[in-house]
Amino acid sequence: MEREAFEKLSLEHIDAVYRMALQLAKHPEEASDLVQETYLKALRSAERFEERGGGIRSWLFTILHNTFYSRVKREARGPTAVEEFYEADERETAPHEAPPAWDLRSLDWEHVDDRLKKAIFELSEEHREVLLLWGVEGMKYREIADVTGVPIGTVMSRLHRARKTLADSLEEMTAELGWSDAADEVGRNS
Amino acid sequence: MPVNPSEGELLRMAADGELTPELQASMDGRDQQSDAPRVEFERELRRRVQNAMQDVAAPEGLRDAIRRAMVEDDAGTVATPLGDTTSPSFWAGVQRFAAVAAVLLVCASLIVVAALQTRPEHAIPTEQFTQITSFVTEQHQRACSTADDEDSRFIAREDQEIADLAEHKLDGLPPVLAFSISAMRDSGYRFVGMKGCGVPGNGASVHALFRPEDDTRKPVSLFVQQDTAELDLSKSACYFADCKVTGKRSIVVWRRDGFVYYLFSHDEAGLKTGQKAFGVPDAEKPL
Repeated sequence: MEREAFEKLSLEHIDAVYRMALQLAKHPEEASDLVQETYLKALRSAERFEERGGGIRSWLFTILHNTFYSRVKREARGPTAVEEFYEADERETAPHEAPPAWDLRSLDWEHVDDRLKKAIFELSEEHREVLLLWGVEGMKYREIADVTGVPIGTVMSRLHRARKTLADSLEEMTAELGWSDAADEVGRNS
Repeated sequence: MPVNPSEGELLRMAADGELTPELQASMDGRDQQSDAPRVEFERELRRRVQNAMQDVAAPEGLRDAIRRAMVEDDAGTVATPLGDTTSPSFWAGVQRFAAVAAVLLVCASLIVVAALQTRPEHAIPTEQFTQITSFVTEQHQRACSTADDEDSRFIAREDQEIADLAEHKLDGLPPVLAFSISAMRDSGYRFVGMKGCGVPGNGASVHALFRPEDDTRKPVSLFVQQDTAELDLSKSACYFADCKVTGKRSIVVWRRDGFVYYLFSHDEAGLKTGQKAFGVPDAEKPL
């Protein structure tokens, strides 16, 4: 693929790539750096994208994912840090409990946004990554597995665990703010 | 996929549209009255995550920095024909430097030419023009994808949802939105929904999408941004710009009631319909 054509096609997704990079790196400058490295790697291996077929967005996310975790491995201070990122979550199981039944739409947008952002920020990188690929980028489990390079069962476990964490955080918020309707519903369902 | 998922897994998979036919059969055999609000909770949670996290745009300058890096990298790649050696040779280095220097000289020439070709007849500086037109073009084209998940991003669909989103993002409901949705519907354009977005500038913004009922026509986007007086535009005129790809008029911009509006369509008929429905000023000037 010619550079100009590749540039046009790939830069359509720069906001999405930067968004994910920011969630992984947590710092805007590092995120920008990560995005630049991702795009250069993508350009250099553009012929592999053409052979593989499929969406360029998923492909860019895959490169971003690999680039981020390669950096983590390079910058790791010791084996413990590396294992924290590379230890697969096969032992992690998805939460068995059913989701809550209360009406999330009844909650104030601003409070929910702020609480969700905080809860998402506090997730581990692995959980945050699958949550955002699912929630913001609208990816299916199989696509997320392809991007992150983990089994689909692991994707599901991480995703369901992340969602349970968010739901718990929102339930805490309703209790803290004394929103009795949602809190009563929580009581009836617990 | 789990063969015997737990209740929690099953309900979340149902919310995500990930049930296999066998699991769907399991789901059908359950108490729907109990399951429905739980499935809806998960779907709403997904919408809230999207709403909370999607409003992040790449910083200004990052796109240009990547383009420059791609040009330099491409110039370096082109200079490899001396041989497939693992260690770079002196002459390969000289060729690469010469290639990069040539590219930079061309870029510098283009910048000089562009500077000489000023746009005195246009309303806003070139940099603002480029940022805004590129953004709305890309966002509209992305939204026009026929994939269902693209439409699902437009989370505010009902009147109250639109009002809530506008209050949240724009500190108020733009008057245009109050009457234009039914006007567009009467003209054969279905309102898909509205979502937050990041039009370049200091004002927060939203993006509303309309799809034509008639397949021969093309979608229309309306971006609404808080007016922070960054754009020096008259409130008694509208400003148009052509799409870089098609060369046709695709963008119309106007200011009113504390908001800046950007109307986009690849279809001139759609653009005209939008101008009428949204009450755009008649006087026209180039953006």
